[in-house]
Amino acid sequence: MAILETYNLKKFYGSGENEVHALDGVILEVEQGEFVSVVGTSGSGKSTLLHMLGGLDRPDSGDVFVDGKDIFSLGDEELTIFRRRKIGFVFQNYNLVPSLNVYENIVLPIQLDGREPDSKYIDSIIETLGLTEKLGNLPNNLSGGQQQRVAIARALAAKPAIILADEPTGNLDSKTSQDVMGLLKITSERFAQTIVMITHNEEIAQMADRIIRIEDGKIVSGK
Amino acid sequence: MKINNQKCVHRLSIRNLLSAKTRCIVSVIAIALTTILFTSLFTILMTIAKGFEESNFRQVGTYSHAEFKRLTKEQYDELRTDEDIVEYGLRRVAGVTTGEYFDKEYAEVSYMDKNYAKWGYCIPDNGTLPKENTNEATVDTRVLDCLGIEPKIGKSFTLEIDLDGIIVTEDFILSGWWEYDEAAPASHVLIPESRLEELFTKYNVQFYNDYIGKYGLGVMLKSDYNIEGQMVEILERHGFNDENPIDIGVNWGYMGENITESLDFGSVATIAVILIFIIFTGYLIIYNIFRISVANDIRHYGMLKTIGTTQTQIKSIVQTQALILSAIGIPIGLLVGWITGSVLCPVVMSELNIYNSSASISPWIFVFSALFAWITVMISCFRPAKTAGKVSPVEALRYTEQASGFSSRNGKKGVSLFGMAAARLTGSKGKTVLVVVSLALSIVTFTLTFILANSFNMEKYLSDQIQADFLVADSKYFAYRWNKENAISLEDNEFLRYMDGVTDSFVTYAIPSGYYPQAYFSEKAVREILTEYEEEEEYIDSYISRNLEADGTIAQSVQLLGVEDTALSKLKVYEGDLAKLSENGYIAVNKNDHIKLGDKITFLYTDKLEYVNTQTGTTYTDFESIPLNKYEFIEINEETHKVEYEIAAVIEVPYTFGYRFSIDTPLFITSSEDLFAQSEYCKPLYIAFDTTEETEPEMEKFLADYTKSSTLSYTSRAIEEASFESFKRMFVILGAALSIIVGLIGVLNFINTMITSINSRQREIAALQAMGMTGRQLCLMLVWEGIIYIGGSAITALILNLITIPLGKLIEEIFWFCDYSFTILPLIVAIPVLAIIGIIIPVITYKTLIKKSIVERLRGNE
Repeated sequence: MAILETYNLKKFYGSGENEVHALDGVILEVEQGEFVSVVGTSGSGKSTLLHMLGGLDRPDSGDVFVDGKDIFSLGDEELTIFRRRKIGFVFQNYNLVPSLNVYENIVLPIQLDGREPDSKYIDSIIETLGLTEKLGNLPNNLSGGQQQRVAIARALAAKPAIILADEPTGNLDSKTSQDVMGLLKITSERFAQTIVMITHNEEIAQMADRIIRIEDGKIVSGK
Repeated sequence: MKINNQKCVHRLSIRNLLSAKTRCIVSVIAIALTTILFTSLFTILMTIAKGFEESNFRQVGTYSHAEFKRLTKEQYDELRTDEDIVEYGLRRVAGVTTGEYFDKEYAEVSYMDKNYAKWGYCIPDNGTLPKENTNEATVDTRVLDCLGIEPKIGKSFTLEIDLDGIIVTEDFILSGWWEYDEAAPASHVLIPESRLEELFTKYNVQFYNDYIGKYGLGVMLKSDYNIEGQMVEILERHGFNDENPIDIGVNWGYMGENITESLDFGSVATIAVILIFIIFTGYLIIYNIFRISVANDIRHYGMLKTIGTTQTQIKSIVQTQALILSAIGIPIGLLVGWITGSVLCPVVMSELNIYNSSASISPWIFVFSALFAWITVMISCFRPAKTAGKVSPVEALRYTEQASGFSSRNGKKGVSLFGMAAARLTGSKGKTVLVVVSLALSIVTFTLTFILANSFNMEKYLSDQIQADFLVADSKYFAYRWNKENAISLEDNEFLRYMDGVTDSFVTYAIPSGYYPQAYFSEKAVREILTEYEEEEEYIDSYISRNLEADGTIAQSVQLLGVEDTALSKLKVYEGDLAKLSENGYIAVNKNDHIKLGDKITFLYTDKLEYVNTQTGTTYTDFESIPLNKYEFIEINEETHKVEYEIAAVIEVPYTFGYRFSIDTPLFITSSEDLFAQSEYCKPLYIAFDTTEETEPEMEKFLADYTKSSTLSYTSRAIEEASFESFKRMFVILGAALSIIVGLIGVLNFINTMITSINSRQREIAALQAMGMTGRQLCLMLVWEGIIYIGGSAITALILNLITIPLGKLIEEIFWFCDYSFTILPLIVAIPVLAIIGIIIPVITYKTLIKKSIVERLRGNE
């Protein structure tokens, strides 16, 4: 069953001669539990695609279905609520809340939704990601790799339908990058988590189940 | 090696500034507001100083620097050309008015040129100065009143003039008049010089009095510094010395003793406290702005350092920015501050007993205000500049403004929106504290103003200010210048006493200055009295050795009141019994350090006093009637008698009960009968009376009318109430003005902190939204931050207010009519206003924030 589907997704910036086709009719399907990487050079449209998939930006035309729901049929507020229940984000620069400690950052999406965190599940995420010792720390006292692990834990916490990772290893050295990718892979398997990751790094991309290549707003392979 | 990099540093500063327009605007406003506070303060202070000076000049009768007196025509022509004299004016005296219309106070008849008249406040409000070769005369309104003629140009009138001893009657045509100033030393009739010469020729004046017809040369010098020295120098240059003397008169209004003398320790301390308060208020916001902007730009500074910018250069970049912002903010502040100050001035000036002049525009106001504002800015940007200079290029890259305080916080509870807001604020404590204190200051200013104004006790004030429903006396009595010429008449007293509706009444009598009785004090007491009034030791020693009597006592002039039985109840008795005053040989004393209950004290009363001019042999019965050169050739003829008293009571005499001025020696009270028996010079000081409640408004109207057509004046409970209210109003207006400006600073600080903090975490907030924080939740979180700021400020303000409770006693000492009563009512009133600000600002910031899409914000700030 496809947990993520897009139909003829288009997004143009600018107009006339300056018109840029960031996305030019993208059609994509991702199955439940799949770990997909999207690769492309900078300006290829991969970030725009990720933003569309996560409902952060609206396309000029085309649809995105997440878990069977046409997300752009939702209003802004509804979309936000949908997002916090169904989509987890992992950013290149972690984007943790600096004034909250590790645990608070992890459970934040659940609490924003007004729910109580499932402590058993959260504990298992924390353990899997090796954060047990760091729960009380504030983000500034963590290394980049540790911060990214917190971000992954945060993305997992709400049991989303899909995790979207935007260059999750972009700010990390190669050793740490390998660690973080390993963890992403493990969580994908252990929690049957669908992950869509964008990267420009071929080596990193290779760790995914499937690689989608995107150039000039069009998917050129791996569809 | 000296490298010229100023230009480069300046370019960096300017570019960096321009890249953050909001910050520029906020800093300029902050600096301007701080400058406004300084400028308003200095404008008010300088206006008060100017008012003092103006009052002095009005009393002297001129604001010219000095005068060369009694010159011949030749001397006048020679001196006036001196290079050190910037401007000069001429006056020649013909004589004084005399006759029935001027039996109380004469007017001086003289010629003044335009300069002299201008400096002497004799420029007519209506009409012109008298033209040469006419019969014209210009006079003040008191002369018009004395003559009983209506002010109309072209009106002719007749004057009786004492022309060097010759009494002549002359006709004049009114060419103009000006409003007589109660403070002026003399009344004037101005005539043209041609008329003056004509009079001298016509009556063959022999110039017995050496001031008649002589040339008085009033001058303005290059500066008002050491006027006497400058004058002597001018005289020496023209060969005038001790053998060839010329009298000079220096305007004591310029002697620098005026304002500095009235500045006691309390006033200086108050001004210092206000200055420190303003510096602190300004520091809170300017420091916060610079701190935040340096923190936001820290990567930029790190980058500059990476490419080789030195610590000093970076510091200089920050300071140059401060300089540029000040260059805009301070002038704006000076202008607005001066306008604010000059609006507030009339409110303050009307409460002071000085000449109500227009707001001062002295350059010192702007020099001092700019200086203080600049100092505040420099203090405020000192630490931020240092932080920026010290930044390590490596650390700058990972610097976020979290660094202070905690490294970890335990707890697995998770957080609410409130918790996130609270965590955010406690995480950056410095910034939060600055904003909270800044806001709290304005609340405290506001609440204290309210509490104090509310504590002003009208009853307490009235009991000291007025002894009955109505009090009528000569207007000079209320101007603290009561003397024998200005006593209310016995007829007036009798008339008022028996008016309809008057219930109780009493007249208080006193011996006027010039006839004060002398009391014999011990040497020790005199020494103490003189020391109290800051006489120098040397002077005291010589004074005592000159005046010591054989029995070891020294005679000192004292003030003495004769009080009617009905008034005794108005006086507060500390010790003894006032009833004894009805017996002979008993007297009461106003509480002091030198005279105790039961002390015996001898009084020396004047029975007869005459002034004799040894040159002319003329006898004057009172000092005031000796014309013009009164201090010369005068001998005193005096007859006296002694009375011994025992102190029957030590009491408190409110100053509004007595003379309304003090001569620095103890004040005594005796019965009115005794006073009449001892001194024929005693005069009624005032009459005070109560009326029935129904007749009070009528009496008020009647007295207003009755005193209008005479030299009498009156005060009443209603008038004093109004003056109390007016003082309270001044206090509230000043307090409110201060609260508003300090409040604006606090709110600006709050807005700036809120906006910059939200801007600096745009990406963090975008990420929160990406992971599912709804607009409502985000807005609510920001509102919580605002509310925490406001709540913190309210609590801080409450604590600061509570601290003032023990200071209540001190406050009651400063404002004697104050009953300090603490209330949190103003705080409760202030909170909703602040809460609205605390909600609106975050909401507005939120609205501007969400104008940019999440994606844009996620990408930005890299």
